Amino acid sequence: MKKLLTITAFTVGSLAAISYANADIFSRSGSVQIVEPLALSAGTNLAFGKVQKPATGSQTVIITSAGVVSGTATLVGGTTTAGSYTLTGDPTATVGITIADTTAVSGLTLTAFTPTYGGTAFTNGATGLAAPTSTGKALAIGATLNVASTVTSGAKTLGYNITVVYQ
Amino acid sequence: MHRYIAILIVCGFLLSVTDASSFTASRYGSVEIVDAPGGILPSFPLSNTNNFPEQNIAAFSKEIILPQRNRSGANTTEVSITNEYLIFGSSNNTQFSLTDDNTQKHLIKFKSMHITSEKSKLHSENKLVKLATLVDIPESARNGKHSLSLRFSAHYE
Repeated sequence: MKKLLTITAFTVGSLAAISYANADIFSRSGSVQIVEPLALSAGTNLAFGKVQKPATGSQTVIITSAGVVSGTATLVGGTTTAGSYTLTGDPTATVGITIADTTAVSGLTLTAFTPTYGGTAFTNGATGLAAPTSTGKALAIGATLNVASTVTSGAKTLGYNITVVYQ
Repeated sequence: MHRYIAILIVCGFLLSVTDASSFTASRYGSVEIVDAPGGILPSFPLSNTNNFPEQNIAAFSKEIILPQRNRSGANTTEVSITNEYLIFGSSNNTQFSLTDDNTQKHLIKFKSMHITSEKSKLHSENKLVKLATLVDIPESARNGKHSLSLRFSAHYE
């Protein structure tokens, strides 16, 4: 009987010790930096006016980010404009900007994007660009439109994606 | 076990932050493609002796065979050349023009050149254009073939 009481007391004491060790509290501090969300204004989209269809091969219409038009194709009117947008975001985070053609019209492709950001030209896909501001920085886009003789006549929609990444 | 759970939660948080740090905006440009003017089709050929057989919107320069001159006393003989062409294009304002490129004006002159519609609206449908010329053949001109050049052009404004 004495032996049984001894074992019981030891067991209860051990359980009490385990329970006490499991209640330790350790404090740690995490961190996070909140940045303003990136946003691009609706702005003005690229417009290449009215272009005469080439008889053979392919011709180009080039619009610089300043809106200057050149190229081998014949323009027969319409309005030509460069893309013009405002990028807003956090003033402490640099960004990378990439523009990609998504045009789904046979015989038309957009290539050689020539963007400027905050008035300074940069290579499409560049990283480490200046941080945007809460009031926005100007993003202007020029491009080359390649017009193949296989394109059909009529009004066409050209697509391009502008991807902005915080770095 | 608690340590593993904590690490998994942190990783999930980091992935979420990375995904939210970029965005892609789609924008849509515009262009209107128009057909080049062209495709002249003669609908009423001239006579066998006065014919512009080549149809080219940019220019044509062909020989015509002059008829026998009238030596009944007239100083000149007029030969009327009329043809009609079908032109297609898709611009609202197309300028047609005729230019006398004849290098033998001292022998043979285009007395008149006329296009029924010098400024026409072309859409997707064909446009009938009438070309009428009057060739003035002086008495001094010799029989035979003479080269005449008449440029018929069209361009969008």
